[in-house]
Amino acid sequence: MKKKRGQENTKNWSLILGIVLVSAVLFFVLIGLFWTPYEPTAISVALKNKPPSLSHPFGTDYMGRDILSRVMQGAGTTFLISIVTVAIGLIFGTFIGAFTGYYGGVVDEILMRLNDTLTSFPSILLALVFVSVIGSGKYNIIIALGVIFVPSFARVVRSEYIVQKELDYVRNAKLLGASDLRIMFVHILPNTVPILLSSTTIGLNNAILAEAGMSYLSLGVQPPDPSLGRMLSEAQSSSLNAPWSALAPGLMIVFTVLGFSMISENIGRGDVGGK
Amino acid sequence: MRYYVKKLISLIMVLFLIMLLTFIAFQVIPGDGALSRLGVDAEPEAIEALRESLGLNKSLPSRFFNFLSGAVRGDFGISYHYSKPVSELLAARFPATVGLAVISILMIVIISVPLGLVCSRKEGGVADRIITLTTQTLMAVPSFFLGIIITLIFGLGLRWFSPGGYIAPEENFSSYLHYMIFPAVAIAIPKIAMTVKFLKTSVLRELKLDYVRTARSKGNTERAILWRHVLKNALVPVITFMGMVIADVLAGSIVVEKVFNLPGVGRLLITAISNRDYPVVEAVVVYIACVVLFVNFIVDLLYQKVDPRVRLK
Amino acid sequence: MKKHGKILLALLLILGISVFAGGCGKDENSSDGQGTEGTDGNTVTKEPVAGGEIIVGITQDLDSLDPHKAHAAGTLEVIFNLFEGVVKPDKDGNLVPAVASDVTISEDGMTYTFTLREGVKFHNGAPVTAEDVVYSLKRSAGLLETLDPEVIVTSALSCISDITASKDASGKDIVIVSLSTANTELLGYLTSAIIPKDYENQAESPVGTGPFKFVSYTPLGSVVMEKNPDYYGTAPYLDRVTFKIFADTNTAFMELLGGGIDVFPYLTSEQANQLTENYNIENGTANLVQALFLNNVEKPFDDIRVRQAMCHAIDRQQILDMVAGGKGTLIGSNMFAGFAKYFNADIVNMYEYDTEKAKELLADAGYPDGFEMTITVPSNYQFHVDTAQVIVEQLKQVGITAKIELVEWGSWLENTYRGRQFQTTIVGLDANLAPSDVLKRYRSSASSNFLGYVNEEFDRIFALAVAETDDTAKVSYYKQLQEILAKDAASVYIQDPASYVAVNKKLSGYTFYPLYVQDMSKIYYIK
Repeated sequence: MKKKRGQENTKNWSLILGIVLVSAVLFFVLIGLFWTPYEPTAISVALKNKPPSLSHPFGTDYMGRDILSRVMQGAGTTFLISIVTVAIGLIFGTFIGAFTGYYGGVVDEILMRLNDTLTSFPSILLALVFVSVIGSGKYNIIIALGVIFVPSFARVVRSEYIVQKELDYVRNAKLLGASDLRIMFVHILPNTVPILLSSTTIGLNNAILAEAGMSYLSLGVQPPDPSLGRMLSEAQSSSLNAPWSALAPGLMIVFTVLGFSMISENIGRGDVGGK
Repeated sequence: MRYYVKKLISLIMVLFLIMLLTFIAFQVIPGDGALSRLGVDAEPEAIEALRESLGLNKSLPSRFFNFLSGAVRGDFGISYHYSKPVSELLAARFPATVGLAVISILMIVIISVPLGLVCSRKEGGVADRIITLTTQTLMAVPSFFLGIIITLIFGLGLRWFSPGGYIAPEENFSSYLHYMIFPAVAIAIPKIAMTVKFLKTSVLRELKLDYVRTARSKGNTERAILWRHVLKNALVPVITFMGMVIADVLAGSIVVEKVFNLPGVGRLLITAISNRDYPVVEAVVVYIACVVLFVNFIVDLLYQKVDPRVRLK
Repeated sequence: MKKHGKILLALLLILGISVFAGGCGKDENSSDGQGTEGTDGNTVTKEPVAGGEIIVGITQDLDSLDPHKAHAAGTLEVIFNLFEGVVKPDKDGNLVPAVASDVTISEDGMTYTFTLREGVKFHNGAPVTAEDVVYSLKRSAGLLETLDPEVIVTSALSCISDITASKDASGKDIVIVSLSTANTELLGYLTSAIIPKDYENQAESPVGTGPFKFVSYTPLGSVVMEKNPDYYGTAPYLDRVTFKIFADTNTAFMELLGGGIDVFPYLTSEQANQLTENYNIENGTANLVQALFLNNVEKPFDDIRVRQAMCHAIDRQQILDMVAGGKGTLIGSNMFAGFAKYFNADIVNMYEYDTEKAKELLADAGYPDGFEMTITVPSNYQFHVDTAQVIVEQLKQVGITAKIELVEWGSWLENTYRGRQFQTTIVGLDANLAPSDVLKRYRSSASSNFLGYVNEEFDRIFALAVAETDDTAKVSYYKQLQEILAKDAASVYIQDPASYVAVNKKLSGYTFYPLYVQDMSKIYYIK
């Protein structure tokens, strides 16, 4: 291949940058679990909408709360919600996609139709149903979001399996007497890793956005507890006189997604696939 | 032919399922049409009377099948809240939602496919780095937030459009387009970023496969390999993804419609859910299901076009 | 590279903000150019110009155009311009003759006689007859032979036994409302719209007698009305008014900044601070009772000491400063300040903010270490959500751990309000222009008594107050009722919130009512 050296170089750089970003963010979140400069929910009339300063590096919000402290705590909540959500979507989605894609036929038909049904079902309505069944606790939104995320993973994985199962290496494996399960998860699955990684990064991103969307509709984390999404939607009302309210949660989201996406791109480019 | 019959059957299956699910959802969530309609001041007897007249007191199966038999004839009944035919309400929402969808999808396709190809061909180059960094950053911005920023910069700052404005297409088509473009950008930007990433991953993976090596060894140029062999195969997962995006956008972007105050399907759905306006919600859900199924159907057809290994069974 | 990324982002964000700020700057200049001449003082003195049209931003879709089927405050305030009752409220909260030119209430409070105004026409050109008035009143009192279940029957009107049309000695049309039990304040409920008899299309194309007539309505879009040229009273200045429906206040605010709307009545205090120079901000009260309502039958709030401790533990002034820019009126009971005649100002500060006292009371009641509780808040009201967040912090000081649970309005209606399954909840309650309407939910037997408040003394005095014909005695009864509620600490009454209205500087005449009303007939363009 041409430009091999250059490629290797960039690869390393963006991998390192990704790792740095993600670990910085994680470090931040971990500290936030034990210590924040101020109480994240402490309000103060005198400190309403104060711009960034030495004592409040990211400023204060419309209730005079320290934005740095809120971001530290809120990011933890947001990450937990998005990671678990994506994990649910990924695990169930991969299984469903693998079986339906590999076998096709009636199972495929039924599962994919269920999938379509779920895709068409409005997510707010689904979230409302979950909230009324299991209550609106801090993490209860995870289940609703998880369910919403399954169909997209399933569809992507399925389309991979449909293509891969016709390829030579699968035929060879079959001739050598490998069981279906073995073919599905030992032979084919590694070949779907690049696409799965992309989907996971995008999924993670979408989960953070979905958490924000749910907070926007008041279905997620309950106030006064912070989450990145809730902070962004709260910042909306003071977007003109306190634009910094949106800066810290916004940057946090951008760094996280950027970091994960850089890491996944590099792993995905490794020699996991292509046997 | 058998293929199409099968598709039709599955369409009916999904529509039935989704209507049933929505019906059940409405039994589970608290509140009903009569309560929402009459509000805080009404006496319990008045609420009971309205329930009776809306038919909310009938048995569950009979209510569901009543609705179902209406829906089969294309009649979704009368909105509890607006006392207007549901079909009329829904039809009035289409111009905004469909227009938004068409424009944003065009933007996504026109912008993301070339960008994705540039990125994968010149991987590691300056263009790739800039595009990748930009798209990955943009991907991380929630669309309501993007909407607000667009409104602030282009609406209030540069005065390119008046925030919250909307002109119906039958009134003035070019003004309608004008008002559609900015919300469409808000929808398109994160999706473009995602599509670029998806396409790039997919192309790079194909480039590593044996057939590419074979093609190279046969002396084909990189360009020819990319266009003649790789792109077709690489498009399969991208088409899946695009399918989901299109379905998503056509289903009405609740958040963007809210930020830009567009009278679209998404806002109708939100309002109808909070009013417990069951007939309207059912109709919207059926519409969304039809869109999703139709798009999936097209996606399946496309699979076969780009990749003959996929057979329609 | 990381550094670059960071800087790039910061630049992007700052760019966004500064471009916007630039935009604002331009605005100020251009508005100077157009010249809103005159001072910032009271705008009412400026000379009116007849004509013109305006756009008013509202944030709630209408629930019905049929005035007897509408109940949402957000609808009533809009259709106030289209319809009138036999009497209607003025800006001081008095009831003034409208379709009727004169009202007499019999000494015993059993008969109301309305003399119809001559020459009043409906928007469709037909004259208003006594039959129309009888029909309209009967319809809203639930006395018609065939009942439409969507018509909202005010329970207070259930004391009406009959409504008849007749002629008085001089041959004028009169309508007589006879009651089965004495009630001297029924007039406040008799403001229900007068509509043409047997007109079927009211919900699609409403017809009334108001200063404006209906033009069109698009669900989730707008309501358009135009000047009624045949109006019997003072004609409105404006030719046309469009009420534009927005998804929320933030969206509407953006359009306000863009200059797309002329009047926006739901400004938050936060937004009021951000408004550009093109607008005046009018201040009034919202005429709501905002309170942390306590479930009086649920532990621990069944104990009066706990409820009183709550009152001492909550710093209402801080709430006002935090969520309402320091404006708003503190209240001590379930009566809004705008209803000045009946408002009992003596009890506003019955419970001073005093955490020590609160802790003592809690210890007395057997909760020396506080307790855990839930505040249920309807999620569509950011104002109440913010109030709840302040209260959570304040309650921490006395050892009470409060948790906020946001619920959707539909769930609130069914579970919290009708089902009474809650510990505490924050909402704002509005009422009709009758003191009994404001206080009626505290009667032990009232179906709207979602607090489960029971006090026999209250019930007794309430009955006396409603039947009382002497005005002074009536006022004193109602003040007593408020005092009972305050003493019992039935709930933590917070405030009658401030209302901020943005009005284009080219306009004047915006008028506040002690009711949810947007009166467009008084607004005019200034020279």
